[in-house]
Amino acid sequence: MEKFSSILIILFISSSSIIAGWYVYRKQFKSARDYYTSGASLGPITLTLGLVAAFCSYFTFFGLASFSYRFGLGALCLVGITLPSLSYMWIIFHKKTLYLSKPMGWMSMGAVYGARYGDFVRRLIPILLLIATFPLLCAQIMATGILFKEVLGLPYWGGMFFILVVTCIYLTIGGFKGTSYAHVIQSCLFILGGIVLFGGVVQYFGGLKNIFLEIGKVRPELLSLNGKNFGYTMALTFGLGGCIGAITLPQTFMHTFGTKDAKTFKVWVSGYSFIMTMIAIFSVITGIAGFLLFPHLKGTDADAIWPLMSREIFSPWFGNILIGTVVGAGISTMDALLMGNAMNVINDFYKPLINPRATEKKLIQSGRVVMIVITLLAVLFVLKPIIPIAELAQLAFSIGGMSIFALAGGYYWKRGTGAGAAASIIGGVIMLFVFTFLWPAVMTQPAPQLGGLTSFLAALLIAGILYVVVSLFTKPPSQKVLDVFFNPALDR
Amino acid sequence: MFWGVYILVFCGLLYLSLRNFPKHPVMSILVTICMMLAFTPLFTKYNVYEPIVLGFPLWFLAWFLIAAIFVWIFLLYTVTKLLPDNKELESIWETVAEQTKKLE
Repeated sequence: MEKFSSILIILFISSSSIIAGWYVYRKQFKSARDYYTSGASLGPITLTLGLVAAFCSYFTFFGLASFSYRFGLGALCLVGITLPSLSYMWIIFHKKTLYLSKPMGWMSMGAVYGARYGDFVRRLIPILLLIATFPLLCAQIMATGILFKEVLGLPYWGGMFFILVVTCIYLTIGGFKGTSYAHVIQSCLFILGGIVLFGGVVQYFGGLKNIFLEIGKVRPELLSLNGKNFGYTMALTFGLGGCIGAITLPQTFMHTFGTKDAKTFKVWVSGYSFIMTMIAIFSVITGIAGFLLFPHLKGTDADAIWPLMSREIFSPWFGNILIGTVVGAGISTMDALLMGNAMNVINDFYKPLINPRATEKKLIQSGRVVMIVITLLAVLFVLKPIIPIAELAQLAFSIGGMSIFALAGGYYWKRGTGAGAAASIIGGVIMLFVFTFLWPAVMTQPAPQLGGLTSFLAALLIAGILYVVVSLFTKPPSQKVLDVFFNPALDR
Repeated sequence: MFWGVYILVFCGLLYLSLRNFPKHPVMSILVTICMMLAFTPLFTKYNVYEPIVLGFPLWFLAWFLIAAIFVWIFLLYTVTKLLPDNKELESIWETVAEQTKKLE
């Protein structure tokens, strides 16, 4: 009976997502651009909630609650407090993407970089993004299986298979527009789930203040900033890495391409950080309050604090409904990553290199095949749930972040060249892998061998130096390209 | 080394903000300072829990005010006053489309 309630809500999320995809599918796609970007036709609510769903994952609920259970209120500073900065950074990095994407007919990330830097960088971007997002995709698929097995008591394989089939159906039939509509349903449910649990927790303890006062008595370090856990280097790595990663991942480009008008852009760019900050605050406080009810969880056992709290505060069957809503956060991140990669592979590889005469219908069909193939490949990597999820997410954002100089320089530095962009991306990613896995083999901790920097900050510094130096020593871009990217009309 | 990178990030974000909004240098400087503070746990030395509002400690409220509320204020100012409205964006799209046709 208890399991049945969570199955019911997951079935509701799945069926409504498929209906959303089918609703768009039956209207027929006019072109590949219509399929991959909605033809810049989506409004403010769809894109705001769509973006929240695309970036919200299991980490936002379970991971953040677990993080705050172990490290306290500081978890909110690393994640929640940097979100408004991300919104402002979106504007200063992507204003020109908004201005140029519709008239230039862009429908992939490679098209943006290719128009500025040439074909080599256009081909490089899909590869970079595939490398960056594949681990993140694996992490979401694996987390779905673990959720089904450990939390809901259902088979790891069964749950994972079911969710992947559902995701592939609504994603392939509905395209970006259908997926965005599905995201609206999914995000409404998991936002509501987070609010209900937070409200229940506050009411259970007789007010927010009581939670903090009780924690202050038994474990005050959760409410203080521990300099050891939250040093300057770690904060900059998490905060800047998260923001830069989000700016350069496909979800951001897809939502900018899909923007109908200026008002829509303004709403999603500011609404996103407001909703996400609220969700982060709710998850963090739920995790901290969890210590009062479950004080003995160690290490990764704390990952179950959000589900444990939902079952403790409410009856188990209702708690399972709340847990079921979070499945929407996981599958929405999966489908956004699959759509983003298909969009890049088809428009930057398949069409220009393999089948230049491909019809619009063929481009859509091939994109569907790419999504299914990437899903199957990801499944092969998560046969056994052994990969650390949080580290994979951090790595994905760090890899994507290595293209930040190519993006910013492309829009705001006339002297930036294709060779500089390629050197920056390739050099940055190689150094990131070297620093993370070979020498000194650290990810989030500062390393004395890197002058006290983390692997991400050190690789980012090298990527920036390479972009500037190589650009200055290579042939400047043509005036024709500069006329487009530095048109005075874009200064508005 | 850390502060070198920190200053580079500050300069980079300030440069981009100024390039986007050249007529608003003061706003650009202030919002960049607030954003950089979001990435900096300056309040680690106030490492004692003292409830202030709703049980939240002082260090948290101060940080949240600077790094979240202030940035939101600048963000709202930017989207309401500095970014183009629907008509202006349409005109930008038309200009770019015409120029792209000419170049082809």
